[in-house]
Amino acid sequence: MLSWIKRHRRKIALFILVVIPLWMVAASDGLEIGETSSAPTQMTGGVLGSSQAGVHAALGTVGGIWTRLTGRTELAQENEELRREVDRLREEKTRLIGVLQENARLRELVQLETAHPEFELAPARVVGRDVTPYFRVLKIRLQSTEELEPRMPVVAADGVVGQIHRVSKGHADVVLVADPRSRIDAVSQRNRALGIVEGLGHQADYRAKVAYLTERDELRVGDTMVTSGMGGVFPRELTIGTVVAAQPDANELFQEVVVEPAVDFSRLEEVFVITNVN
Amino acid sequence: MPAVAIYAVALVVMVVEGAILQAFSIDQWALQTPLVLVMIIGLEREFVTGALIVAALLVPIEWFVAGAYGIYSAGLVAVFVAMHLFRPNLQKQWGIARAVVAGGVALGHSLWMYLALHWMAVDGGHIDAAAIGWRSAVAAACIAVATVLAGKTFARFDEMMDPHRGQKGLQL
Repeated sequence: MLSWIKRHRRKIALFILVVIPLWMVAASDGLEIGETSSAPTQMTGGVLGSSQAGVHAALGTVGGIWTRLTGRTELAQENEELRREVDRLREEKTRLIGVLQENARLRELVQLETAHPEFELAPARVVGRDVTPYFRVLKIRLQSTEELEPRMPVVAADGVVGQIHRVSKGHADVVLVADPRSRIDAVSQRNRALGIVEGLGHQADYRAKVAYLTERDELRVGDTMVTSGMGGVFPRELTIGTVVAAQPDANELFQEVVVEPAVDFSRLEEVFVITNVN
Repeated sequence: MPAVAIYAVALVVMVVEGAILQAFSIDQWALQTPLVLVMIIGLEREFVTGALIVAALLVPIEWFVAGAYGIYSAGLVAVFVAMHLFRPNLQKQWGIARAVVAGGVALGHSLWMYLALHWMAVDGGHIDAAAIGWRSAVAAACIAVATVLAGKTFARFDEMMDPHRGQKGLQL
């Protein structure tokens, strides 16, 4: 047996290598958002998610230590005490600015809770991003003990962020509005024109397009697109973004509409998962 | 470097990369670390060892990519096999020839992603070609440079940990 394995080890290695992705493809739901992860994937996600959250937190700490260290090298001997005091105050100021910024963000989130008392919201922190140019995904770490499920909507104070894709212990992948797999039933706030906001998946920006507009529906630059509530994933009237370009397509039958999401995904730190709508 | 160490380093690199991208709000990231790692493993390790390391990395890589499950990995397996096909005809050192191959393979992987995602799209045309092809040439160039630099570092570590690696002959 051992000699057979030794003789065929290259073939066996190639077989293993080919079978794993095939198993993944067979087990997946293709481009659909909201997969139920297999046990190995969930376990891997749990371990890697915790590691990434740890590294994310450590990066903040290292940044603070570095600031203090570089400050100290410039200390003059005779003014050590005074400069230490200045350093301490500077550090305190930096920390306070951070706290104030966080406070402002949290206040916005509280406003969201106040504006939508019907939502049950679970706060989460963004700890990572996907590592390829093909998809637009954020890794979040839940800050409560709520159970997450695939396809749950994720929002921020400014509007829709995306949907939960995969869930692992305390962590989840959020497919952003700009991801090419994302499709959200939307309606124009101005004339109630229905369409589907689909992510363009551009690496350069976070834009999306509005598809399936009827011939009669005309959108204008500046129109606000909100969730229509159809499709059963997103509640109604959550802001998705603003129309930044609207022009007739090549056949002049329909419009080609581009939407700039309301949320600035590059600066997103805290999000809310809507776990239930009362 | 032993296989377990390569595996651990690859995981650490990807964990740190994802966290850094978020911490510093880096949006436009063309460098695909999993691709770079697989190319280095493909060129620096013999087939069986390399295949087992790559096989063990596929599930974690899919977690980091967070894409359509298995598609990115299938591309990586093809990249690994391609590297072993190119390997006998390539210079031993990390230089221009390896950079050219890395860039070409990166473009091939992008093409595979476009075709696979386009094929998987329910209504066709859902996946925007610009999304996949966007700056793919620039990305391939970045990947080529990154692969050579990381490959050189990898070879240096290999040399430090096992100075007699690759040498044939009697040893006392």
